[in-house]
Order: sequence, then structure tokens, then C-alpha cells
Amino acid sequence: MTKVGIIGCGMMGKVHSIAYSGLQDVNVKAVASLSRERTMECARLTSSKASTVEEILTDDEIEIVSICTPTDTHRDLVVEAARNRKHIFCEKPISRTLKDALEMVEVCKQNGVLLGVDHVVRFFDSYSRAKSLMEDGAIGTVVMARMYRGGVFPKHGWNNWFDELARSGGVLLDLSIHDFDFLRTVLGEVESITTRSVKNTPSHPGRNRDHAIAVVKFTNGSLAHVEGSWAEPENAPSKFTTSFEFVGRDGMLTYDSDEDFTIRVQTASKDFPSFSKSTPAANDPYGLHIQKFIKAVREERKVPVDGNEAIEALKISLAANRSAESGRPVKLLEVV
Amino acid sequence: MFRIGVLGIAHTHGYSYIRQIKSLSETSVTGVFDHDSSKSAKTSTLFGIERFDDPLELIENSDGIVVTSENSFHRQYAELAMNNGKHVLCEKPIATTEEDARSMLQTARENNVVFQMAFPVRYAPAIQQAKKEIETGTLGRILSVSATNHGRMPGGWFIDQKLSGGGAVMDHTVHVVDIIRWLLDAEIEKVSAEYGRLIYDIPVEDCGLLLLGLSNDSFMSLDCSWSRPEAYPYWGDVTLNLVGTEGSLKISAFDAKLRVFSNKRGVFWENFGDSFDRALVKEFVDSVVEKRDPLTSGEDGLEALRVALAAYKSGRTHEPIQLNH
Repeated sequence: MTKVGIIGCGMMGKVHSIAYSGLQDVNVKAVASLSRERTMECARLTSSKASTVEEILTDDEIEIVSICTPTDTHRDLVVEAARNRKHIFCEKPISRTLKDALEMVEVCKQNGVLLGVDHVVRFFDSYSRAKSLMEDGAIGTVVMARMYRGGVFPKHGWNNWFDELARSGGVLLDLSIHDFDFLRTVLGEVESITTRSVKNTPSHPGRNRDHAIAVVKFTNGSLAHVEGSWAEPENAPSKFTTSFEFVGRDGMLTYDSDEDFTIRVQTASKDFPSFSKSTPAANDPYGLHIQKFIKAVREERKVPVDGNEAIEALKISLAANRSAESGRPVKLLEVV
Repeated sequence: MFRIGVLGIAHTHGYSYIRQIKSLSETSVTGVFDHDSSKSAKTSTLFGIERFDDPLELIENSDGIVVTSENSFHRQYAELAMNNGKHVLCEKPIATTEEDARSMLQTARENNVVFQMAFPVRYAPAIQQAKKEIETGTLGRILSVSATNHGRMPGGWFIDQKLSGGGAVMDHTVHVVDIIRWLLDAEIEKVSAEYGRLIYDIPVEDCGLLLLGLSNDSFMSLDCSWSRPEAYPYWGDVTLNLVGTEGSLKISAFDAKLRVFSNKRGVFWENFGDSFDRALVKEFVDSVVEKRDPLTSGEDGLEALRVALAAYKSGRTHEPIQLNH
């Protein structure tokens, strides 16, 4: 039985709690966060105890720590956890800065612990099936992609940290990094990126809103359009949607969560969400990723998405933010 | 009866215009000329209209001229008609160079004729509705637009640089740029572009992504790629995703569709929406009769072309290009 501690009990802490409780041979022993109420909720979901960061990190029974705190706090927690010889499953993005990420990877290596970063989109059935179809040559060599991910602004963040560019990095770092990571697995490395974002627009209209478009050029010559949004109206029925389109030399494949789903629910409830479209599946993508991570820990093997891969995705987001500030294309090599 | 002659029938949009001219009660088709007589012969047979071997003779017998030749012939034909006092409805893009486009505008002014650009999508009911939504302010201030104008790779003269002036960027930039300039009442000030020959082994680019800065401090992207495969059930699309401070608006202008699965005819989408071309041709006649500027003017054609040309420059230099207004 692998024992786990969860640090951070906001939206993602809750998602991890649910994912762990659906798995065999894993037991969440303790959870901790700055919010008493949210900590109790995760403790209830995992039948574990509300604890503290210090208790979790010094508990010899705990092998793995899930880090689900705001992005800019990842470094301190991951470094501390690694020094206490915990394997770490860290929410994406790995960190707010490249310097932090490099240090995290180095400290984990020095302490002989594994670091996995939760680029969970790779484990969504729609995305993984698309990828395997492309690998089977269903649409020929893939040359172009369009990715969309977005919805209403995430107001659930602790102290509204999503709205602080210095903490979350805005949509390009917090949200579109999912698509940047997935695109890397299909199209390879990025050469340059040109972006615009609302957060970086001189006349940015106040708080709690961001929206960005990125044009990405890959070293193999292929192109991608990546759009991320935290700008849909709060009362919009669809709170969050994703879509993708891949064009190959012999065809094309598309997916849109707003059009391709198996269940729609509309209710009179005023509580979130009163409307949803989804495709329930046996595999919870978070659970699937965690399961593979735990397997890697037990068998001392490479983790599904390691720190170095997370760093490559982070660099794309950092280049994107730099381009949004300057209005010029930014080469990935400039991000050092 | 307003008599319209078709000068050049290289662009298949011309077929649709002929159909609409014939169906409107106030217009008739004089006939067709093309420097390639096989094209004019084919069109003449297809629609039962007269074939002319002399462009001047066609012009003299017409009140207005539709130019649907190859792009690089637009100036020559449009100016021939204008200099003979005829009104012109010109296929997009207006021309292949800014110099040609400016000359055409000048010639239209000198001859005091209507010079309309064939930007039919602006006449689409959904676009007209979007204009109202934006004007009433329900969306707040528009911050971002992501747009597509996808199509299949057309082949033929479209991939001959001398005749077309370029590939997907030249072919599919102007429609959406025109729509957005009108919807947002703003000009394109900054143009970045990436494009390439990614799908086909052809002499011009087949894929392109433009990122544009607008005079109202918003931004937009445009995917102008010929990226719909042969297997796709429709020719392509025009889509917009507008994000405002108070709401968002999505358009898929050609999605008034039935999905048809026919053992005889295969899988295809049947569009049941209003014909944009009908409204376009009607506007041509109306603007002549009412002696006013058409909704989509030659100036609009020039501005849209400048964006496409700036996109090529940006692609070559890997720098954003500034457009002055």
C-alpha cells in the first residue's frame, strides 16, 4: 500500500483526492492546505486526516506527495519534499519561472526522488486516441494544428492568484500549456512563437479576464494555432470547452467537446454547474496518470511526464508570454 | 433592366454570380468574355448566355461588368470597363499589387462609376446579425477575434503565382479581413504571419496563420489555409470567435447545413442558408440605381489586399509589419 500526502486542497487538490480514492493499493494518509474548510473537504473525500505540510513531509510512511498549490509556490514545496525523500507528483505548470523549474529538477535528482508533472491532457481519451490515430498514419504526416481551451475565469483560486500574472503567468502559462505540451508530443520541438494576449494589451479591461492567441512554428516546419480563454461570461452555460483539429497531408481529424459528447445535463439549479456536456468514461484521466506515476515509483522507472518534459512545455509558455509583451516572434532558444 | 456582362470567367464564383443575375427580376446577363475562349464557350453553353470574342463589344452592350478573371487581370478588365463608363463588381482580391489596386480606385473615381468588391460574406445574414449585436453593445468591447477561412486546395491558375499573386494567403485573407474591419469599425495596423507549403507539392503556400493588431487595441488571428482534405464533406468554412468584455460571439457562416449520407452521392453537407451572392449582386444594382457607394467598396478591397501583402512581407522577414492609415 503506497501512502500519499496531498498539499493544496483547492480545485486541483480536490481532483487529486477523487483520483486517488478511485485507485487500488494507494492510500491518502494526510492532506494539508491554508484553508481549513477545503482541507476538511479533501480529508473527507480521501478518508484521511487534515494535517500540515510539515507533518506530511516528515511522515516516514508517506512515499508520494501531490503538490496542488498555486504555481509560484511549487518550487519551495517541491524542493522541501525532495529533501525529505518524497517522490513528487506536481500539478502543471511545473513552476512560474525557468530558474525554479531547473532547480526543482536538480534537487529531485540529487535526492534520488522521482518528479512527475501533471500534464493530464495526454491522458484524456479524446487526445490519446487522436495521437494514436496520427501515429498509425490515419491522416498522413501531420503539418498543422488548431487547439482551443477555455471558458469562464477561474475565480476559485486562493486569493485570486490566477489573476496575478506574476503568480499564474496568465492563460498562456496556466491553461494553454496543456496544448503546448500535447503539441510537443505530436509535432516535436518548437522553433518560434508569436502571441497576443488580453492581459498584455495596453487597454486591458480590468481584473479577472485573460484571452490569448498563439501562432506556433515547429522545427519540422509545421504550424499550430493555440487559443486559450478565461474570458467567457461568468453566467455562460458552457463553463469550459476544448477542441482540436489536426491537418495531415492525407486528411484531417477534429474534436470539439461542445459538439462531441455523450451526456448533457440541464438543471434549474443555481449552483455550479447547472448545465454540462461531458463524456463519462471508466478511466479518469487524472487517475490514469497517477496510476502510471505510482507504477514508475514502484518499479523505479521513468515517469510518464517528467520534469524535463515539463520544462520544455514551460519554455513554450514563457516564450509565448514574452511575445505577448513585445509583439514580436520569440525563438524558443531565447528562453534560457 | 440592368444588363451585366461577365468579363473573365476563370474564377468559379462567376458561375454563382451569373445564376443570381439571371434569377433577379431587375438584372440580366449580357454575355461572357474570356481570353481563354474554351472557358467562355463552356460558360455560354452552361447558362445559355452569349459568348463575346471582343471585350469592348461586351462592355458596350452592358450597364455593369462583373470581373471574375484571374487575379492579375482584374485591373486590366476593370479599368477597360470603367473607362467606358461602366460600373464594376470585381472578384476578390481586388488585384495582386497595391499599385494596381490604387490605379483601379483612381480610374473608378475619374469615371464616376460604382466600383464594388465581391466580398459576399459581408452580406451573410449571420454577419449582418453580428454587426447589430456589436453595435448594440451586448458584447461590450471586443478584445479578441480568432477566425478561419479554410478551403480545399483549388489547383489550376490559383497556384500559378503570376496569375493569382500568391497561394492560400492571397486567396483567403481578404474575406475575413473585410468582415472584421466592418464589424469592429477598425483598421488592421500590425501584421505577423507564418505560412508555407505544408500539405501539397505546389509552387505557392497552402497553409497560413496571420496574427493581426487592430486600431482599437484588439487583436485577431486568421487561419487562411487550403487545409480541408478531399475527404472533407464540404468545401471549407468562414468562422469567427469574437471575445468581448461582456460576452462572446461565434459564427460559422456556412453551417446552415444538412448532413447527407447517400449511398449514391456519398457523404456531404447541403447548405440551406440564404445565398450571400444574391445579396451581393442586388447591392451592385441598388448602389448604381441609388447613386451611392456599395457596402463593399473598392477601398475595402485595397485595405484587405494590403493585409495579405503585408502578411507575405512578414513571412519573408519574420518581423511584424506596420500598416499606416
